[in-house]
Amino acid sequence: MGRKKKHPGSDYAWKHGLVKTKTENRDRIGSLLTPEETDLLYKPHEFAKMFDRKDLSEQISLFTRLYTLIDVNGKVKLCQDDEDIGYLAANRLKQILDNMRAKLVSGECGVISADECRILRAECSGTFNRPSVKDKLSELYKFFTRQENLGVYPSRAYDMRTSPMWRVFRQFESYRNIERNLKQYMQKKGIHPLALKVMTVTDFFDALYNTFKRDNESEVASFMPGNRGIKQQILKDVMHQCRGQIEEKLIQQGYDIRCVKSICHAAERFGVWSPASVVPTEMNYTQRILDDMEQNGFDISAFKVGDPIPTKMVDYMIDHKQLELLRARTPNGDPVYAKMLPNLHFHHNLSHVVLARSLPTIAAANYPNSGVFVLDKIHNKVLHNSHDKLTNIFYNRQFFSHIQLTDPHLKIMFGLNAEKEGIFCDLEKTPQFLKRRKQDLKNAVSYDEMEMLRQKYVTQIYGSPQKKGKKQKKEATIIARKQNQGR
Amino acid sequence: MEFKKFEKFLQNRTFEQGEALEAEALIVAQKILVNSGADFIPKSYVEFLRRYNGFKSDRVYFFGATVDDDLDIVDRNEDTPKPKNSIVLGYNDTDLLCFDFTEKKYQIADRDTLQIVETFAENDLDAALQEICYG
Repeated sequence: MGRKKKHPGSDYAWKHGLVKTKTENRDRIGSLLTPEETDLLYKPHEFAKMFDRKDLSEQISLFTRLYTLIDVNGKVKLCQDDEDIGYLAANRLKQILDNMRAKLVSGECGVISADECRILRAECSGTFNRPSVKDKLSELYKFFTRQENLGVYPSRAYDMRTSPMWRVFRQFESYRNIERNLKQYMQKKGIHPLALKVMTVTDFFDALYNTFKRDNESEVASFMPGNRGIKQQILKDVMHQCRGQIEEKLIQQGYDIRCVKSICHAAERFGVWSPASVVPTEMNYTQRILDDMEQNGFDISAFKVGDPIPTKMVDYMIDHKQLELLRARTPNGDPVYAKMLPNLHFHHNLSHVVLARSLPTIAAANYPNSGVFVLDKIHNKVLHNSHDKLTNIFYNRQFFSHIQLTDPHLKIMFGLNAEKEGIFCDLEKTPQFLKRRKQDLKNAVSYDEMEMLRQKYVTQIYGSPQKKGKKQKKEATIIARKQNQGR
Repeated sequence: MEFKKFEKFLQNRTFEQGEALEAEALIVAQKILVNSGADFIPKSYVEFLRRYNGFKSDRVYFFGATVDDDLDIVDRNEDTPKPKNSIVLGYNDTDLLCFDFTEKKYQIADRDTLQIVETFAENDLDAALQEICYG
């Protein structure tokens, strides 16, 4: 908004006028690269130096252009007239990927079900969304949650291990930890315990949203301590272990030290990296800050200009929503914002979480060493670019091709050179994690087997799953009444 | 057209947006999308672009006819894998917001598998935007 025009007419039209010319050029093999870049393809060492000197946007652009010269299997494409270029492009691309500690992988694989994928994602974000009208709840769950079918049941009647679909959830530590809350909700609501046996994953998501929602207006319900999901927890742990290194890297890149310190503090405390929302604070008291604090009723007699602002004071201001009082300012008094800081996205090392079937337990897809925080540009344009494919072959077999990050200790990528711009640490060596992994393996189940078991329960107790409508509901009513009478 | 749910999401949130939508920019974007085998940007989304021509807030992106490379609908459609017969209009780190131009519906697709997880009518853009914002 308010940007100065660079060209007559629409800048956007100008931009795409140029792109069009590039697009026409792309049809000619080899024209993707400048003569200088083409020349350097033959000189690996000089190519590496040239690549290092470029800024990130230029590196991404070159990466994408090189990729256009090869196909998803890493074989040479567009090379009828100039095989050398395609072959060399593949080698230089490998050089870039090696520096990223990554490799291009492709093949055929089994994938996890959509339900498992949803469970895994919810654990990662730490939230349950408000069920949408399109979330198809099972008829039996709807029946059991209807007002006239609710009753009073003892807590011990709710044995979560009897539920096939909850066993899919309880493969994850986070869901095992909230089992009690879910039981309490179901008991308080008066849902018949037999419902557990036939509830689907969608039914459980509905019950879980209702267990944890703050009020009826909530769009999302957080279920982890401190409203944190797995990715927030990982960021907190990384910051805890490597905050000094991260701050140093960003300061070296020329970012304002106050912005860097503030975002790192917020990331360590809340597990959130948000340049758009973080309030950069001064590191030392200024006259303006002391005046503002005094006007807002603070006793400032113990502070003087130049004293360092302690972390406790920053935390106090955050907790009391008065952080603006400490906001960093330019020499002219204008507020400083942290928007120019790099934005980080969470990326699963697997790239496609549906590939979690290849792991010892699907819970492992959310383990601390299974995720990495990468710059948004790298996430959107390098890791999830046109080479990133997952194509259905049949049923649950898929063809995939993607860039896989190979170093599990790589935790943050501030650029494409992991050695120089990466932050490394091992988050899986704690006794708590080893205990978690042991329990996860113990609770691992097969989704297909659990779904078959659920179907069996539906058939055994309530009749054929194909029978729908009045007859099935009538049967369910009779059984539920019998169960009630028996108590 | 109202975007109440989306505007509720914006409350107390800092975000960036592209330059105000210019008629010429919209024509250029439509032309390139159609020439590339896609279709016109749906009317309801154009309404959205008149207010937010490209939107970015942490992990949520909506594209527009803007010179900002991260938010340019043409560039992003060129390099983002998307379901067949659709234009991609935005994403968060797990889902894509697409418009299926044969079905004339908004779709939320899993960014990894490209499987459609939810669909919305053309006049229900606000709900589709909300799904990406909170997804």
